[in-house]
Amino acid sequence: MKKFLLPSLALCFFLGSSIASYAEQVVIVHPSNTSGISATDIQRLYLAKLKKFSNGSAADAVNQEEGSAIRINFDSTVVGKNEAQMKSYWAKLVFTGKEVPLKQAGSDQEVIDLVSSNPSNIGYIDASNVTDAVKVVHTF
Amino acid sequence: MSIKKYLTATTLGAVLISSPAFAADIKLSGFLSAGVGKTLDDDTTFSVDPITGATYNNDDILFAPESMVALQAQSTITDQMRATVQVVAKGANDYNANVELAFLSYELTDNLTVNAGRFRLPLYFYSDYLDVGYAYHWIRPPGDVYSIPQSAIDGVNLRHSSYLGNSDVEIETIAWYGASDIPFGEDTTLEVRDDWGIAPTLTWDWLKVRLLHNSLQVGDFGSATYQALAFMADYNDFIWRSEISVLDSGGSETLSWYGSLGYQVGNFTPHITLSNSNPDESDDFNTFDPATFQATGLLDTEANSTTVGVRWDFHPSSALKLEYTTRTDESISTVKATNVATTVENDVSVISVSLDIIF
Repeated sequence: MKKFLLPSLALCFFLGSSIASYAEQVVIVHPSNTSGISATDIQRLYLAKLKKFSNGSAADAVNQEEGSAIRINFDSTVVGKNEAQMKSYWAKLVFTGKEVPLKQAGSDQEVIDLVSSNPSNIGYIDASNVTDAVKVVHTF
Repeated sequence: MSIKKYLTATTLGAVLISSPAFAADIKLSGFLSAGVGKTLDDDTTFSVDPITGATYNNDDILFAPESMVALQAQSTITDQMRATVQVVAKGANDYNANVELAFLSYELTDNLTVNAGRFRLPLYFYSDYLDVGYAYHWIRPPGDVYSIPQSAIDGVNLRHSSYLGNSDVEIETIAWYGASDIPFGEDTTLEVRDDWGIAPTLTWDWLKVRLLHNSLQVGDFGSATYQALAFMADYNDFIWRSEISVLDSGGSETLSWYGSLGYQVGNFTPHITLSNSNPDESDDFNTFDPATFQATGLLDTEANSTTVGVRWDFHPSSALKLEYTTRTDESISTVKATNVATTVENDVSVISVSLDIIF
């Protein structure tokens, strides 16, 4: 075990960041969406604090399936909340009637379908699944 | 009462669900709590809900007082307009359904929404989602502050939210006007009228500060005002919750407050809470006014409570909570009958468990 661990650590060290971010994930929009979209904008879109892109057109954030690895990673790294905190936050918004729950897609392909067919949608998927039908605006 | 409310709910539900225009855009959701509790000493009771009057006692392990289920339908009618209906059935009410939310929302601008219909009174920080146990760390927010005999009111409210300049400081404000009838005693209701209020909330990074002013007329008894300040923090794994409230009613003031500290360790959040409720005692022995008492439902009682508990997030949509609360109150009894004040001290300890789920 130790013999295996040491070379692995060394390898990680030499390859640096490319190893650390082996599972790169990206935020995508419709290719026609030319709005500037900052990390803060994305965070606010998923907290329902922002409803429009910077060009003034409507923005609809699309979530991945509850409990999926990509959603947990997105919530913690991009939105800055863990799974339970995010659920509590949205429970408060929904059960006071302030917001309706975000649209939810079951797979990367479904996110691509939703985003590529509607310029108001924004979603997140694994970088390896990106196609020409969508535009990447943020990497995490 | 509840049959009428139930019919209203059913009718609204039927309208929302059957109308083809809405069919595509209805979101159904809900929440439930399964609670159980018991006091630890003979002949003691512990009130958990001033509206249903639910209490735990020492004779039985009771499941009904804090168990409840709620269903909600939200219908997006146009990009600007939405309808929300929430029906809540509580064990303490024999699971008779009550409509807690039934309002239309209209987005006037990106930052401003007007809502009309029935909504929960946004008095304190947790008041407008008091039933949603999943959304906070306790089984119930501290009773010394949250003993409010009113939950929903009928009227209008305006919600505004924006960021201050280019900063990260968000300010959300709700202002409302409405009326409600509160059941009082066996066959009477208190007519609450001209109930208006405003509550701005500032959020910056891990800090949240909320202010409240509320003014209302209670039947023929006169006016009352609530003023409150909430200070909340989520700093790394620490959570801090605190509120202070002053109720001014018929010339008598009641100050109440709580402070709660929690620490998240993985899926567990142990927490401790102190709370206090204190009517101004300088003159109430002499000037105790039965009319004011009837108007506000306030007994001149000073109370102190300590709660220790833990929340366990064992599933993303479910939390299990265990709490121990000990409460001491000094109530002034027999004042109404004889006008002679006698102070009686009561101690009660209670253990309660709750499973809170959202769906």
